[in-house]
Amino acid sequence: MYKEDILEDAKSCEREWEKKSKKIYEKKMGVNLSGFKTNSNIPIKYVYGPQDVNEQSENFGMPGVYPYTRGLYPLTYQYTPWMTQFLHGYGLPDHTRERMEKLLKEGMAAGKGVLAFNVECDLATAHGYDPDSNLVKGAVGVSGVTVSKMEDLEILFNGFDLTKTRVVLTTKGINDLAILGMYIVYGKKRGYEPDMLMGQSQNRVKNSFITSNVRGFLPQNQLKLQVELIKYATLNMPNWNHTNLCGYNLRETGITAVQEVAFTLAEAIELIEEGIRAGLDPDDFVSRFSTQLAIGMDFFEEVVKFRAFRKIWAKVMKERFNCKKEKSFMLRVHAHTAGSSLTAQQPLNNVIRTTLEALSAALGGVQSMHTSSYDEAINLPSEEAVTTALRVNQILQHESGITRVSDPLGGSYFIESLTGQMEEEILKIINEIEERGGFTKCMVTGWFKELMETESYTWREKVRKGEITIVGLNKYKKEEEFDVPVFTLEQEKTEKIAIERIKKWKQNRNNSAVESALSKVKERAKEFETIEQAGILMPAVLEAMEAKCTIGEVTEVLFETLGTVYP
Amino acid sequence: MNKSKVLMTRSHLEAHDRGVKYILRKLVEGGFEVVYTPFREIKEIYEIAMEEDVDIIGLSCSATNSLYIVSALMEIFEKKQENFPVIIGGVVPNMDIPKLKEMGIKEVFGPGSDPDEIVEFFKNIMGNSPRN
Repeated sequence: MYKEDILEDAKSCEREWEKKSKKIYEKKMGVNLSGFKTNSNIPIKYVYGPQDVNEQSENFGMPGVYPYTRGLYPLTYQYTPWMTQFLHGYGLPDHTRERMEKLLKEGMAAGKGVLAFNVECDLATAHGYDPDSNLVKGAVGVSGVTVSKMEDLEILFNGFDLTKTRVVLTTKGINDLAILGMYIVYGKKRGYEPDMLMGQSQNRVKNSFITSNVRGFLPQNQLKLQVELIKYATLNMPNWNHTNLCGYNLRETGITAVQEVAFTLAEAIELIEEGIRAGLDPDDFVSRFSTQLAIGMDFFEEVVKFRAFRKIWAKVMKERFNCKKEKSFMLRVHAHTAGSSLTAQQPLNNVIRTTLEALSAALGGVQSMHTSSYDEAINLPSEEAVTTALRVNQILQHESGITRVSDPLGGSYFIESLTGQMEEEILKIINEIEERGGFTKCMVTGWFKELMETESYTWREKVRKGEITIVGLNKYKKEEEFDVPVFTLEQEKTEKIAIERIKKWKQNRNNSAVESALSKVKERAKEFETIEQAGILMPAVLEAMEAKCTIGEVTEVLFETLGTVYP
Repeated sequence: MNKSKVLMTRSHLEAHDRGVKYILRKLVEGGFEVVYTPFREIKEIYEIAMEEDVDIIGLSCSATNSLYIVSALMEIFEKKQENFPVIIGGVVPNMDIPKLKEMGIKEVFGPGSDPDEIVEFFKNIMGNSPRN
């Protein structure tokens, strides 16, 4: 791309730089001039010039143009800032509804006229249990809101226009068919057909099995359930994101940014192949994958990660899956600042960490963001801490001026060069996963787990030895810790009320209708032997929800029929 | 000489296990024998501890309600007339720590605690333990 004479000039400048550097730093200070490595172990130079990007430079492209390295849309945040989608939820649905209203009042926004609620379900619901199960004592209303029956959705969402409200009920993905079924039936009761609903299913049972210690179905059945949901949503719910590709949870186990993207894409590739086997055209469903990546502290590597992620996606959809529709190439990304980067020590420092992370995601061109609260390493976020986290976005969007130009770092020799390196490293790992038999195979053999545990241990040892600096933790420590207000929930009282409510729910329904609906789910699940049969199960789940079954009841039936494996 | 034996455990509902897995490796490096099993019901902590004949229990609580788990566990200890030293690691609100200690918890190690200090603490407990 560069003219010969400019390139020659640049190379001679670099030789001069080297000569001077050697003289000053290598000889006098003993510094090694080979450069550092990023957090993903990608070697980087001390300084970059046109010679470093000459071969890729013709592909810099423009935002909104294939392969979308520089952003999905021609304009990025000039008129539509990234959405602030905060994961929230605690206690009873009543508590969470209160928090939702407060977040709206503080300006949590999903775009013009659209609301978004990314509701985290409590530990019991997330793991597929109802609050009255013996296995969840002390966990109801913890780490999220208890959701088990239609009544809970009424408390959470009554009064909102569901055609303008993006609803996500976040669990570990093992009960997503039941949750989606319940939301559809809830919608119908309020006069909304499934094709009018907008939102997202997590649908990430394998990811959770690897990352979150969640029981799973037998591996071959996990894929079937995922494809079942994809197929139902594709055929009936055009505004629904059927699957959340959750790099975030993978990353939080301790792996690198390169591994995060590679694992995430490998899972997507496998799911798309299975979707095709189930009779779907990739052009009809790949644009409804949603993604959620972590944002770590290696600033430039994180910026570049989002660029490489979009670029590889576009190429895979075009070249491997022969997609034709433009939206199939365009990967929308939600980014979540890394909880694991926060410290319990000197917690206010976390506001700074989160701001840097959010800035890198914004410069990487993401569509949506969750920014962590500064007290997350201490307890569930307090209202004040959540508001400050929201303000991080608002200050970046309204005060910093970074939204005025699309992809402002595009064309930087360093950024473009690193994008190329990262793409190469990600593709190498995707190839390795495929050579090892694909995502599910790597889950079954424990290869992912092994890598995660090694990375996590190595990182923590480096922190212990001071090879990695974490301010306030292993450097600039303080004897006296600054106390922040701690958010508390009356957990035992919450649990008691949740159990009373579900008992009442079960008393006030036609329990023989419940029984027959559950046995129908069971039958369908038994008949569901191959991926090609996808579509067989969801109608029975919907009937079960009409009959007032709970999420836990439907989930248990599926586990009984499709086999349980523990991590 | 027999190695001291530790049960490291967490609720089956805990997704967070980086901390507990790291500490258990540090304990092994520090000369302990470690059993790592998550529990589904609280009584399983006691059952596994008895079955494995451990000297210390390390309980990891990052999302789950440690006050609830510990009070139920201590009730079981009392009923069975058995006692194990219990050490907690994870995300525990500062204000809960005195209550946990009052219930008999030996120490609570929060996020970012010095792993060498934790291993040392386990060793000291062994030094004072009647089971040693």
